[in-house]
Amino acid sequence: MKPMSTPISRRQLLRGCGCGFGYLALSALLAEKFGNVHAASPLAAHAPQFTARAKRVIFLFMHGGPSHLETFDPKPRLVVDQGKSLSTNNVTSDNGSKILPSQFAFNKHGKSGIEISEVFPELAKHADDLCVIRSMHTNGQDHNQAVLKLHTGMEAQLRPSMGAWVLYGLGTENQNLPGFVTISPSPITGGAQNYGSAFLPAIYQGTPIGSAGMPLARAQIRNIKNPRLNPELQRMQLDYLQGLNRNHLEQAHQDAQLEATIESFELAFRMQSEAPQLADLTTESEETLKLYGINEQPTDDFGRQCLLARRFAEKGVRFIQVSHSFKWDQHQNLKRDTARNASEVDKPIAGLLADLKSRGLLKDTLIVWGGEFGRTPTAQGADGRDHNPSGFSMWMAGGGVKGGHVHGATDDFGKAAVVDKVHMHDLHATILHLLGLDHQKLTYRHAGRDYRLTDVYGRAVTELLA
Amino acid sequence: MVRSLFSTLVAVFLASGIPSQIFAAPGARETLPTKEQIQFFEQSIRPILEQNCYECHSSKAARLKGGLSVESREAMILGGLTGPALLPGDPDRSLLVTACRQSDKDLQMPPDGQLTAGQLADLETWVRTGAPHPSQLLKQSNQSSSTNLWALQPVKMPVLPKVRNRRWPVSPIDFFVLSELEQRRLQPAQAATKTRLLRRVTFDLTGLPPTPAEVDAFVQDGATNAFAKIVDRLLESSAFGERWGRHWLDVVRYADNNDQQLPIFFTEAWRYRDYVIASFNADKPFNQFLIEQLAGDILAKSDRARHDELLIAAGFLMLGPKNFIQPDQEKAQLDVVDEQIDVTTRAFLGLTVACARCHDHKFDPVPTRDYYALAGIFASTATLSEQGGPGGIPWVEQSIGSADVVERFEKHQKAVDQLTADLTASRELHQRLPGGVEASELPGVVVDNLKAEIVGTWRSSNYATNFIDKDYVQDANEGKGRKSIRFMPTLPEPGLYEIRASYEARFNRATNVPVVIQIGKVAHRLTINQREVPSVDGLFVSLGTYELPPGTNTSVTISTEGTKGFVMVDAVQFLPMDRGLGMMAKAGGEMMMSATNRAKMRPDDVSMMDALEELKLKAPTKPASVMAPREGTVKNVNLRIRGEPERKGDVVPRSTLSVLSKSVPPPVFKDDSSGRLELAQWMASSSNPLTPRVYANRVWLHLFGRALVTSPDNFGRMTAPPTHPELLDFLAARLMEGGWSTKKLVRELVLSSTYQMSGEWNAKAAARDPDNTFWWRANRRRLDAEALRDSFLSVSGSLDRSAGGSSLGGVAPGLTAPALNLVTNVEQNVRRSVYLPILRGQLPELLQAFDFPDPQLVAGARYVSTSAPQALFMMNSPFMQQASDAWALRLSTSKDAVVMAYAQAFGRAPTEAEAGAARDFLAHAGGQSRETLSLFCQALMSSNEWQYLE
Repeated sequence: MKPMSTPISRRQLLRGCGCGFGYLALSALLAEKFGNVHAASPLAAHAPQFTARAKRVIFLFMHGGPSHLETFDPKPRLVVDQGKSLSTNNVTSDNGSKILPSQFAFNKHGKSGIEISEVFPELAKHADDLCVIRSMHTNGQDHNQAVLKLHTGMEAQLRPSMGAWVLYGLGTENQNLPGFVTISPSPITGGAQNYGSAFLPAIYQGTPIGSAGMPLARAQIRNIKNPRLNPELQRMQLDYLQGLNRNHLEQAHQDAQLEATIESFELAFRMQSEAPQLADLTTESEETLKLYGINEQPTDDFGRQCLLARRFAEKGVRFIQVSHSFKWDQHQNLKRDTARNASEVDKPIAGLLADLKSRGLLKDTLIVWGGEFGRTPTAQGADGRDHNPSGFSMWMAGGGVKGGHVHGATDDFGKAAVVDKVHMHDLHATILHLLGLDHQKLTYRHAGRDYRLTDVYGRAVTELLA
Repeated sequence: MVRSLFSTLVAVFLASGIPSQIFAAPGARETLPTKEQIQFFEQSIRPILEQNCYECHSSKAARLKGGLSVESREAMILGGLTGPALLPGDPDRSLLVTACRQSDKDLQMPPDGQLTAGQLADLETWVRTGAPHPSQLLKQSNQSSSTNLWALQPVKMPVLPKVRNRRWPVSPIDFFVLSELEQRRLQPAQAATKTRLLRRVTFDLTGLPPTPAEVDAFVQDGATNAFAKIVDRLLESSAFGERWGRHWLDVVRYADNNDQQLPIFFTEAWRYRDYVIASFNADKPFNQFLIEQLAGDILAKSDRARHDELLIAAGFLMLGPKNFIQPDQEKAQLDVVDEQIDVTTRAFLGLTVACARCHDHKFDPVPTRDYYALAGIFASTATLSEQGGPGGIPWVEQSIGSADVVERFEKHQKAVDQLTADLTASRELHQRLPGGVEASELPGVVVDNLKAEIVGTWRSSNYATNFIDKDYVQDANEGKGRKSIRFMPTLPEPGLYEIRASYEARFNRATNVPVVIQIGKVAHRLTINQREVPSVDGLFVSLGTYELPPGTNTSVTISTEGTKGFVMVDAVQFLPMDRGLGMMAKAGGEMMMSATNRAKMRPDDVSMMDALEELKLKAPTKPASVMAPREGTVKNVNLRIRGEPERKGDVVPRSTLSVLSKSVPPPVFKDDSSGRLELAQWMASSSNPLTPRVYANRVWLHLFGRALVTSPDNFGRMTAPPTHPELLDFLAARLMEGGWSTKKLVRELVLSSTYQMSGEWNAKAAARDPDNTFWWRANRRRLDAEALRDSFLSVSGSLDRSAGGSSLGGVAPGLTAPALNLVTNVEQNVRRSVYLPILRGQLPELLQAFDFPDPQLVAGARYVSTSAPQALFMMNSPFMQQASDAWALRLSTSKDAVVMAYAQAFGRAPTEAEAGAARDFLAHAGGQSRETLSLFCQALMSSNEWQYLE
C-alpha cells in the first residue's frame, strides 16, 4: 500500500528533529487546490500503480532521425533493387526516387544473432541485452512535429513531456537532486517543451543541464553556484535567513507552505554541493573513464553525458535524458555522417550498458535509444535519405525488457512498419508500463477533461517484457 | 474511537469542500445522484476501490476473488460468496465497510494494508448517503441532466442571510460568509493589524509594497474612513491597471511571439497589452471590454475617435499560437478558429466549448452543432493573411496612427532620407575608390553572390562602395518573380547561427524583398526593406538566429517576387554563436566592422554613416500596423465528423450556445457580417448568467487567493461548484448593478470585514475547516512572480516605473528568433514585470521559476509551487545579487541600516531580538561593509515574511 501522509504535524516533526530540516520532503500547495492525486508531497517517491520492472529511465535521444537502414534494420532487397524507383509516401521528396542500399554491412551478434550494422561495433557486443523494435512508426513529417510527438505524445498542441508525466506518476527517490534531468537538450525543435510540464504543475518539469553544443564539462544546473560566497559564508547567511523563517513560522503556527519554503532552501543548499560533485567526473576511475571513451575523441563529450547519466541513475533520479544533438539528419553525406555520429555514441553507450550491468543497475534501469523518425529507403540527392515516420527502429535495454530480442518488422524495403507495428503512443504506454504505471490511468485534469501522455491511444507492448 | 472517527469525518468533509447537499442524502436513496455526489465518488471513492480492490475484485483480476466485483454499484450490491458487499444507506451492514474497518479479524481488507482514517470516513459517508454511483446516471439522458448545471441558471440577487453576530458584518459580502461560518460553528478571525492590512491591500491592488511613509501615514490616521481613503488612492494609481491588467493577460494567453516552433515576433502585441492596462485604469465596464476585444475592428469602422484603440482591442483574437507551416489552408483556418473558440469561451463564459469539436461535449450541454455554429462566426473573420506569400506577415494587420504621429514620423523620415541621400551621393562620387569589403575579413561563413546559385538574369555591379568582395548583383527592376539567388553555406558544425544579408540601401530599391531561409524542411519567410540602411555596420541586416544542422542542409534564397524597385543581392553571412549560458554577448549588433574594412571607407562617409545611425536611434513612433482581425467572407461552416476537416457533415448556421437560448435569445446573424459583434453583445448581455459569474469569480480570486469556483476557466459539470453560490451570485449581480465596474467591485470586496480579517491561527477552526474553505481567517498567500520581482526592484530603489511601449526593443516585424538576446537582457531590465518581453518558450528566468503560466494556455488561476530551483534563484542568481547590492547601497547612508531595512521591507520596526540577530549576522559575516549589508538584504528578500502576504 501507498505510504500515507503522516498525521503528526510537520511542526512537531521539526521540533523532534532539533535543528534539522533535513527530512521533510518538498511540498507544494497545489495538491488540494487543484485536486491532483498527491496530497502532501508531490515529489516524494510514491509506489507505482502496480509492480514496476524498472525504477528509472535513461533515454538516449538521437536527434535528427537516425537511419534504421544503416543501423538496426538490414534490408538485402535494397541491394537487389538498387537504383530502381520506389514510390514513398513522403510528401516532400520526389516520388519515384531511386532505391539506395544500406551504406554499411550488417553482421549477426551475440547468442541471439541480432543483426546490427558495422557502425556500432561496441554496442553490438551487448546484442543479447538489446530489445530492438524494428516496427516503430509515428506522426510528423518534419522534425518539429516528430520530436514533440516523441517527447510529449502530441505533434502540435502543448502537452507535458514524458519525463514530467513519469515524475508526476512516481515522484523521485532523491530529494537532493531534481527528479527529471535532461543533459544537453536542444534549444530547437520543441526546445523546452520537450522537457516541459505544460499544464502539469511546474515542479514536474525537467531540469536542463547545459544545452546542445555546449561542452558538457562546462554545463551546470542554473544558479547552482554562488559566484561570490564561499560555502561557510553562505551557510552563515542561510542560517540567519532560516532563523527569520523559523520565527515567522512560530507565529504562524502550522503552515505547510512556509515549511516547504524553508525546506526548499535546505534542499537547494544540499543540491549546491551534491550536483557539482555529481558532475565532477574526476572521482571516477581511469578504467571507467576509458569504458565510456572519455578523454579521447570522438567520444569524449557523449561519453561524459552517458557517465553523468549513470551517476544520476545511481543517485535515484527518476528520468534522465541524454541528447546527441541535432546530428542525425542525413539528407546528404549519409555514409560519412552516419559513421561519424555512430562513432561518437557507440563506445559511450556500450560503456553505459556495461557499467550499469556491473553495478547491478541495469536490471531496474530502462534504457531507450532512438530518434524522432527513420529515413526513406530511397535516395535523396546522391548520398542522402529523407525523413520517414512510417517505419524505423528503436531499442530498449535493461529494466524488464527481453534481451536479445527483435520485435516487429518493416516491409522488404524498410519503407513502413508492417509486422507487429509499434506506434510512438505504444512505446510511451510500454515505458509507463515498465515503470508500473497504467498509461490509461496516469491522468491529469485540465481545462475540463482528463489528459494523459498517450491521449486516447496506445497499448503497452507486453510482448517486449522479459 | 467512534468520537475520533466522527471528528475525522467532519474534517475530511470540510477539507474536500464538499457542499452540504451531500449530507442531505438519507431518504434520497432512490433519487439520482447529484453532480456533487458523483464528483465525490470520482474523487474520493473510485480511487480507493481502484487502488485497493480492483486487483482482485474487478475485470482486471484473472479470477474474481470471493466472487466479488466492485466495479459497479450493482455488482457490489449483488456481492460475493460472503453476501452483499454493499447495502446503500447502511455502512454498518455493508461488508465492504466492515472489511475496511478491519475490526472483524476474519474479514479484513485490503489484505496488505489499511485505509487511512480519512479514506475510511469517505467510504462510510458514501455508503451512508446511498452509495451514489455514476452508473445510475447512465439510463438518464446526459443532455437533460446537464442543462441543470448551476452555472447556467439565471443570476439572481440573493436575499441576505440571517446571522447571529451583528457587529462583524459591514458589507453584504460579510453576511454571506458569516452565515456559512455560523452554520459550521466557526467564527471569523480578528481584524488584521493596520500594517499587515496595508501591505496586503497595496500588493493586491498595485502589485507593489507600501513605502514606509505610507505605512506611517496610515497607522497615524485615526479617521474611520482611513482605510477607504487608502483604497481609493490605490484604485486611482496607474499601478492598479498594471496589476489587474496582468491578471487578464494570463487569461488571454498574451505573448510577444507566436510559439516555440515558429517564434515569429508579434512586434505590435504590446499595444494590446497597453490597451488592457489602460482599460483597467480607466475602469472600462467589463461588458464593453468584452465587446471591444471580440469585435473592436467592426466597431472601429464607425468610431473614428476610438478607431485605434478598438482595432488594438481586437488583437485579443490574434494572440494565439498558430501553425503557419500547416500547408493545408483549410485545416490551418479551422485550427485558428478552434483556438479562438477555446479562448473566447473559457475567458468569458467559463465553458470548454472547444471540447465539442470532435464529439458532443462529454460532460457539459454543448453539442458539436453549437461548436460549428460558433465556428462559422470565426471562420467568417479573417485572421490569417489571405495574401500570405513569401515575405508577407502571415496574419492580418491593420494600420493605426493619429495625424500628429504620422506627421512627426514623416518629419524625422525626411531628415533620415536627406542624410541617406547625402551619404549615397558621396559614395557615388567616390565610387572609383577601392570598394568591396573582403569576405575573409568577416567572421563566420560568408557566401558571396559569386558562389551562389543564380536563377534569371542579374546584373553585376560594383557601383556602390559598400559591398562584399568583388561585386554585387541587382535585378534591373525587371523580370519580377523570375529571378532568385540561393546561398548555400557549408557549415562546419551544427549550432546556433545568426544569419545576415548584405546589401546597400538606396531609394530606388524594393521595400519587400522576399527571403526564404530553408532549414531542412522548415522554411522561414521574411522580407528585407532595401531602402533602409542595414543595421549592422551599414553592411548587414540580421535575419534572425537559427539552430542549423551541419553541412549543406541550409539555404537562404533571395528573390524578386512581388517587389517594386531594384533588388540588390550581395552576400549572406552565417555567424556562429557560442551557446553557453549568458551566450550571445559577443554577437548581435555590437560587432564592429574590422579596422581594415572600415579604413576602406572614406572618413566623410564613415561620419555620415555614424550620424545616420544616431538619427535613426532617435526615431519617433512609427505609425504602426497592428494585429487585428478583419471581417472575412461570411459563411456558415460544415460540421466536421470527428473533427476531421475532410469529413464534412451538414452546414450549421451561425448561432450562439443552444443551452442558453431560453435565457439569452440568440441574435439574428446577417449575411453581410461575421456575427462577431452580435456574439459579443450576446455574451455581454446582462441576462447571460455565465459572463458576470465568471468575471466576479476572477475578481474574488485575485483578492482572496482562492476562487469561489476553484476552476475559474471552467464552470462545467466536472468541476467543483462554488463554495458560496449565493455570494457568487451576489457579486455577479452587484457587478452588473455597478455598471460592470471592476473598481467598484474591488472596492466593495476590500472594504468588507471578510477581506480585512487577519490570518490568525485558530486550532478549533482549523480542525473543522483545515483548508479555510469557509473563510474563518485570511489565507496566507505567496506573492506571484511579478509582485516578487517588482517588490525587489522597488525596495532596492531600482524600479523603473516608466509605462507602456514595446518590450522587444525594435525587433523587425516578421523576424523569428534572436530572442535569446532579449531574454538575456532581462537581467538589465528594471521596469515592472508586466513590461518584460513574454516569449513563448523563453520566459524571463524569474517568471519561469515562480509559476508564471505558460503563455500558450488560458490560465485564470496560477499554480503555486515551492521548489529548489526557486531557492537557488534566491541564493545565487545575478538578479538577486544586483537587487540586494542596490538595496545595500541605498541603506548604507542611513543611520540605522537594520531599522531602515525592516521599515522598507515589511513596514515595521524589527523586534529587539530581530535587530540583535541582524547585528550579530552582520558582525560575524564581515562587519558593516556594503558587501555584508548586501548579504543581509538578500536574506530579507528571500525570507518568508517577504514572500508571503499575511
